[in-house]
Amino acid sequence: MNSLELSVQDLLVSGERGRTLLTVEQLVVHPGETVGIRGPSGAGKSTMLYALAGLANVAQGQVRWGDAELSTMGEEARARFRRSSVGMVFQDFLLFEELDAVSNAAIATGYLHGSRHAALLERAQSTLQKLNVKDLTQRTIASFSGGERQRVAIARALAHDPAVILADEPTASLDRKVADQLIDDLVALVRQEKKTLIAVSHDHHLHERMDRIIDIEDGRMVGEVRND
Amino acid sequence: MTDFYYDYIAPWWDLLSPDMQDGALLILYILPCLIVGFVVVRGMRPYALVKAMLWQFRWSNLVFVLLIAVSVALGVGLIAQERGLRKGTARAAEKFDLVVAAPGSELTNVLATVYLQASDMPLLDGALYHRIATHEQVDFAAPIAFGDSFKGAPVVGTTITFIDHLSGSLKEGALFGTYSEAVIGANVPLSLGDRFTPAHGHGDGADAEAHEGSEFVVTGRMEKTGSPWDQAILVPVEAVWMVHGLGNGHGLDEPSALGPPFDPATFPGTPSILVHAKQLWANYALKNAFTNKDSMAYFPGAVLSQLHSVLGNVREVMSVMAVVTQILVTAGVLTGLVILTKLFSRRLALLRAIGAPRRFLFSIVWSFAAVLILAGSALGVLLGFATTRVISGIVSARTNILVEVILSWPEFHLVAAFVSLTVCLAMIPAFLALRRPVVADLRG
Ligand SMILES: Nc1ncnc2c1ncn2[C@@H]1O[C@H](COP(=O)(O)OP(=O)(O)OP(=O)(O)O)[C@@H](O)[C@H]1O
Ligand SMILES: [Mg+2]
Repeated sequence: MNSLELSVQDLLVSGERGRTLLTVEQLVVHPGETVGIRGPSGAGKSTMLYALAGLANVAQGQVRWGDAELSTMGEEARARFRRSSVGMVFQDFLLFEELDAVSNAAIATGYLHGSRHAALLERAQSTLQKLNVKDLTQRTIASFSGGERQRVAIARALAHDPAVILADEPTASLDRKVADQLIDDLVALVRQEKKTLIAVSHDHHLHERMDRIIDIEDGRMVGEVRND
Repeated sequence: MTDFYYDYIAPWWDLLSPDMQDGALLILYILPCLIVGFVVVRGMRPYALVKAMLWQFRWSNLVFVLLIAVSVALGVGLIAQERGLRKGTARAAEKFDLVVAAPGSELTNVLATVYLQASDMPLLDGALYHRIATHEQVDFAAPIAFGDSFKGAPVVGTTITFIDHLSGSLKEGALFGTYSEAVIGANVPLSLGDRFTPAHGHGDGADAEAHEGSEFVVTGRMEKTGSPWDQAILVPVEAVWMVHGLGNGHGLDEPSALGPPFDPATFPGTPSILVHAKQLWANYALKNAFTNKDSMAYFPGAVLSQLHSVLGNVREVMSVMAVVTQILVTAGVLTGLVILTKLFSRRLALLRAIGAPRRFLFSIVWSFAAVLILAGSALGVLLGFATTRVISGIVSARTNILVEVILSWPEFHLVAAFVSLTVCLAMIPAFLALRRPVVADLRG
């Protein structure tokens, strides 16, 4: 059911004062594929994710998801694309401390059409349960540990049933055991529902579980490795 | 525009009762707020995040709400206070249709006669009193002879007709029947049967010994009038003359006669005479008849309305200041909101990143501002009402002029217009929040 193929062509992302942050000659990711992105700090990995999400300033080239060509779309259209097809996980969670786990995971009920609320809430709850998050509504995120927060962030990315998950360092602040468990859960969820996963990470445990690994260095995509 | 009004609106408008007109105006004033609110929030559910924002910045929010409340209270209080004072002073003067006094300042005489703020006045003589009292259009003419006091309460010499006019029936006891009896105002801290000796003059300059030997006993208490007369002690005007050694104003063969008619030859004089006409329309003729080089006749109500127009002018000037305050406070609060929104910008960027429409962000920031404005305005109404009550209570206690405080349409119109205006202005921080760079804000 996921038919969004990613195709990136001659991409150039620029930052302030026209500085080139990232160039990608060509990249194709098939629907349902899992891809890891690695590289030194400051190489441009987060920038890559932002570009794929239609958030970065694309100076040249194309980023196409299925039929949607992000570089020609307006800001509001790209936002619409994200809320229908993309789930994003951020390195430092970016949750609302004052809300409970379910309210965070189902944050999209604030702006999605009322007809989708029930399904959204249900997916948020079931994902949180699958990810073993306790106290779904009893306490606010402020009292959650790093591992719990990361799970809530992942549940939020999945709640609106997107075809694509873009995750930035999803295991960064977790200890080994918790990180491994989370990788297992994330990969299982993604494979089960045939979602495309593109995850930036320094964690080779994560990369071992991906179909492919892309290397970024110094603002350039320098190569890729395929896992067997 | 004016043609349109007179042709199409006025005919319908005039059919409405005053309350309905005011209600319609209120709706008109609050309408922009409702429209903006509807358009901005429609289809969005920003409440959880607004709550989060309210809680995260609770102390700044509290300060903003208080600032708005104080500025609104200022405007509301000013209007309510002025109306209360205007109505209170008018009520206190209600019974004084026409007053005759020696030529001079009407205002000074009003203050002395109606509001019992004593001052030395030239006296009117017996001949004039006689002419007034026997005028064919005069129902009664009551001398009002002030100048003495007892423990701060003015002691006023007059007639039982005047007491009847002022109070109707007594609250308790009986009218005075001899020169040593007195009727007290509703708030005078004496009881029936209490005895007292008045002092000559008022306040610190009062001479307590001057009238030694002349003692009064309280025989009755008037109904509350909501005027300074609630604090007055009323005695026969003859008694006032007697304690000053001026005789009783009657013939020598009438050593204990009480009330009119007086003898023009022995009438010692009175600073003011309250004139009550048989018919309302006669007042103007009476005023003309007794305005000449020996006396002036005036309507306390007319003097009061001049005072009220001054009061109204003062209120208008202060209203301008209140509006300026409101504008400054609003500007300050909106600037504060822009800064708070900046502190919240990472969360807003996150929402953009996960695909929330701009309108959702807009509705969060706007609703946040609107909640502060509404809370501040509601609190401001309460605060304005409360302070006005306190101030009015003090005024009432000091002057015995009953200043009642009620909130009425003008206050609500003011608040509605304020809310509508500021809620529209609250779109500015909301717009600014949309203009922030998403990726830069996401990186924090
Ligand atoms: N808005 C911006 N304007 C200019 N330069 C930027 C901007 N954002 C990021 N950069 C720079 O772009 C480069 C790539 O940043 P990016 O965050 O993509 O690196 P990264 O590979 O994700 O690093 P890390 O592993 O530390 O997260 C860095 O040199 C960074 O300083
Ligand atoms: Mg990064």
